[in-house]
Amino acid sequence: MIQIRKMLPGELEGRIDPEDYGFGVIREELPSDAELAERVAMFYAIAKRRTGATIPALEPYLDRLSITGLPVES
Amino acid sequence: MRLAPLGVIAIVACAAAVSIGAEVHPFRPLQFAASAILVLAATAQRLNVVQRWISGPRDKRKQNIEMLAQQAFLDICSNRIVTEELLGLTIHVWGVPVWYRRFLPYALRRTLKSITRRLQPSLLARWTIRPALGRAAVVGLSTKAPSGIRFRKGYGLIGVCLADNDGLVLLTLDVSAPEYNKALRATRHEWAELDPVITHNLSLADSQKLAQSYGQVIAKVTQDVSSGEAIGCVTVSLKTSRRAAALKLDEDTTVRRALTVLSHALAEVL
Repeated sequence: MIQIRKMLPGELEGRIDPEDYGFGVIREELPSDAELAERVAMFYAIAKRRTGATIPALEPYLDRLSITGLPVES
Repeated sequence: MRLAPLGVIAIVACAAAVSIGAEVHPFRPLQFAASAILVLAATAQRLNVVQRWISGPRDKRKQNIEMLAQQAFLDICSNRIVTEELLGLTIHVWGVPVWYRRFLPYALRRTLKSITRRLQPSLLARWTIRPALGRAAVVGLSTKAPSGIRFRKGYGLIGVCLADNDGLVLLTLDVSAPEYNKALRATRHEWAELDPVITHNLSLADSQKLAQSYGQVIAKVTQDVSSGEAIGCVTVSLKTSRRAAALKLDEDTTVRRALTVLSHALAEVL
């Protein structure tokens, strides 16, 4: 379960380059915090409507949908 | 309100003790304890709260993570024709074990790290504890049994994604690269000599397993909302290699968008 392993080069200094491990890197332009929160709210609202289950930690996000509301079901 | 069942259990236990105590003469502690436990167990089972607890989901957290991963999967698949390629699409959610995060809080680990940085060039300073990451959810139209590979921070795409802990990037892997496929035929000794650019910091056996199951993978870290700690990693993978697939994960805006939203939603749940 637990192992003692050697740190990656640069890990201690907080400088890890994923390209050194052969991975491609796509830099994203993240939307603003408000827009991102709204996307999460919409995402959760649809999941909640689909399953009927609630996630208390995500409930506050739904307040953001009070203006825009849920998308109309197709 | 939550204490009500316990109160009822306590009352019933006292009543049982009185009734059993009155009947058992002379008093035998072992017999008394056995009878009391029987009465207690029978009463506890009858309680609605306990019954709900027994029949309820084993792990609410896991269920919530699965629910969100399923939603992301539906977002990616909506308006697409179900092809053989889409059958190989999978979402995985990996999480740093909660017990590890509780036992060694992020603030403590950061302090230890800064002390260690000052201790350089001590040999011990370069070693650290690496718990195995937990597979919190896997969603797909046709999911397979776990590969059995124990991912850890720094190990493979998921591990490097966690170690990098950059919320602004998506990491991609194309397993069909010719130099990688050539390297997979190497011996263990030859593999150990290869650069991590080729091996992705994986063992040969694990690389061979993964190469059979995945063609392209895209990953994003999930960061704790308050501390910024890397608490998990979400991946979208496709069995078909990038070259042969109609769906190129790194170019598809729906995939990237779903991955970003899912990783942010999971930050509240993981």
